Order: sequence, then C-alpha cells, then structure tokens
Amino acid sequence: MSHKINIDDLIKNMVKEDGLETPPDGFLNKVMSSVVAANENPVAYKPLISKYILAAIFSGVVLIVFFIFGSGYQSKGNYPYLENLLNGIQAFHFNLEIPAYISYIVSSALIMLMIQAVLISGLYKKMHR
Amino acid sequence: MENKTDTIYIHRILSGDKGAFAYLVEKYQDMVYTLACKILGNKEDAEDAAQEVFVKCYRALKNYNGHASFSTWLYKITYNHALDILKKNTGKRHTIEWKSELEPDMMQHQYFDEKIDLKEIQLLLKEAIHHLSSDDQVIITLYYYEDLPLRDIAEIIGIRENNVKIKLYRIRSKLMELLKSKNEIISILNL
Repeated sequence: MSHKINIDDLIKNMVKEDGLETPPDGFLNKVMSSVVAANENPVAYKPLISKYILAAIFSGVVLIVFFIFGSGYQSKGNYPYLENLLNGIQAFHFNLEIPAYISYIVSSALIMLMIQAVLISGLYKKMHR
Repeated sequence: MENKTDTIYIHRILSGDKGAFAYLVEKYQDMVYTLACKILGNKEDAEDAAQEVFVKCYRALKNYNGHASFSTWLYKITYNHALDILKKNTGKRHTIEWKSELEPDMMQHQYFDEKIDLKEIQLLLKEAIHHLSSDDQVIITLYYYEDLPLRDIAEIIGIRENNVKIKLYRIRSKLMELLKSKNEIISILNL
C-alpha cells in the first residue's frame, strides 16, 4: 500500500492518541495541602536594595555635593545660614582640599548607582512576578 | 470561553476561596505533569516539580495580569521551574539551539510515499519522538496536543516566534528522515 502521508497530521494524530501523562493518585490532595500550608506561612519578599541603603546613598550624594561647593566657596554675605553650614563642613574636613574632578567623579558615580539601583529593583520585581 | 472560566475561578481564589484553586489544579495537572516529565525525564522529580509549580502559581496569582492566557502563564512557570530543578540536579546550563536565519518554505507540508502500514509508521514515530530533546518534545506537546499558537509557545519557552517556527520545521525534518530510513530497513527486511 503506497500513499502520500502528511507528517504534520501524522504527528498530531500520534500525539493526540498517546495523550498526556497523568500524575499519581492523591496529587490533588498533596497540592491543596501545600497550598493551605503556603497560605498560613506566606513568603515575605525583601526588596533588592532596602529603603535605608537608598536613603544612605542619597545622603552621601548630598554631602558630596556640599563638599564640592564647600571646598572653594566664596562668601558673598547674602546667605549667612548657608555660610555657617559650609564653614562647619569645612571645619569638619580640616581644610582638606578635594580636587574638583574627584568630587565630580564620585558624585556622578553615586548618582548613577542610585538610578541603577531603582531601575534594577524594578526589573527584578518584573522578572519575578 | 476557556479563558473566561479560568478568569472566574481566579477571581474566586483571590477573594479567598481556596477550594476554587482545586478546579484549576484538576484542569491543568496533566499538562503540567507531562511538561515536567519531558524536561526532567523522571516521574518522581516531575511529580514534585508539578506540585511546586502549583504552589508557586497560587502564591503568584495576585500578580497575574491577564495579558497572556492563564494556561500560557502556568506552562511558563512549569517550564522555568523544571529547568531550575534540572540545573540544580545536573549543574548544567540549559541552552536552546536555534538558527538565526529563516529557511525557505518553512511551513511547507512534507509528504512522503509510504509502502508500509500506517500503524507501523505511528509506532516508529512514537519511538522517534521519545528520542528527541526535551525542548523538542515540549514544543511538540504544546503545538500538536494543546494546539497553542506559535506566539504562546514562544512566550512559554522564552524564544522568538520565528525560532519556534524554525524548531518545528527541524523537528518535522528530523522525524521524516528517521521514518524514511526506518522504512528502507523494513523494506529490505521484508524482501
């Protein structure tokens, strides 16, 4: 007997006839018991980067920005409170002169890190939805 | 229609009716278990994996946004979870082979002349399918048994739709070659 056979139909018929595997008896009960147990002990997901670390990074950026303006600040006499703050910061770092380019690099790196932390955190949440 | 029924049960589950989840488990347990078997290659591991998949699904149900059908979403969890277990057990990274360029006439139906009994061909085909890679078997099950569109299969396995098309073509070609070579052997033996 010779005839043309469509491989697609052949595979489909074979797969449909073969059917699916069936899990063993009691599978449904096991799953429902696990689900009930899971409901009683929910998994607490921690954020990738905690709020405190993000706040610390942000504070660090703010401090660095202050140092940048503090190291070479020229008093104009119009903002006394700001002058006091900057004088205080200058006193704190004992007149240590940080080159401007290093301050720019460090502050840029910290800002970039903060942005990436927020983006990566969002991506992580999306991936593990 | 199927999607609407699933959506109704999902709403009930999210409202606190845990028993409604049993409906979804009963409906999809065979396919989830089958996919796990195909990837893990052993029934004990597949049973544990299938159980864990349903628990994962239950926990993640509040994040199900309805963009894909529930079955596609569930099968994707199954596929990824089974691969995680496989990686843990064997320590090997799972890679999917695919060609980057499109071959001509990808959806052309393939015919061949057969001089042997159709039942014998089906037996040969069954044996041949069991020797395919786990990914190929998963694609065959999703495409031919579940009648899922290529887009959904691509979503489940995590490759592009075009690559699913290429893989299906290669699977058909592989099976064709195998049947043809078996047929030649049988013809020789029957002389």
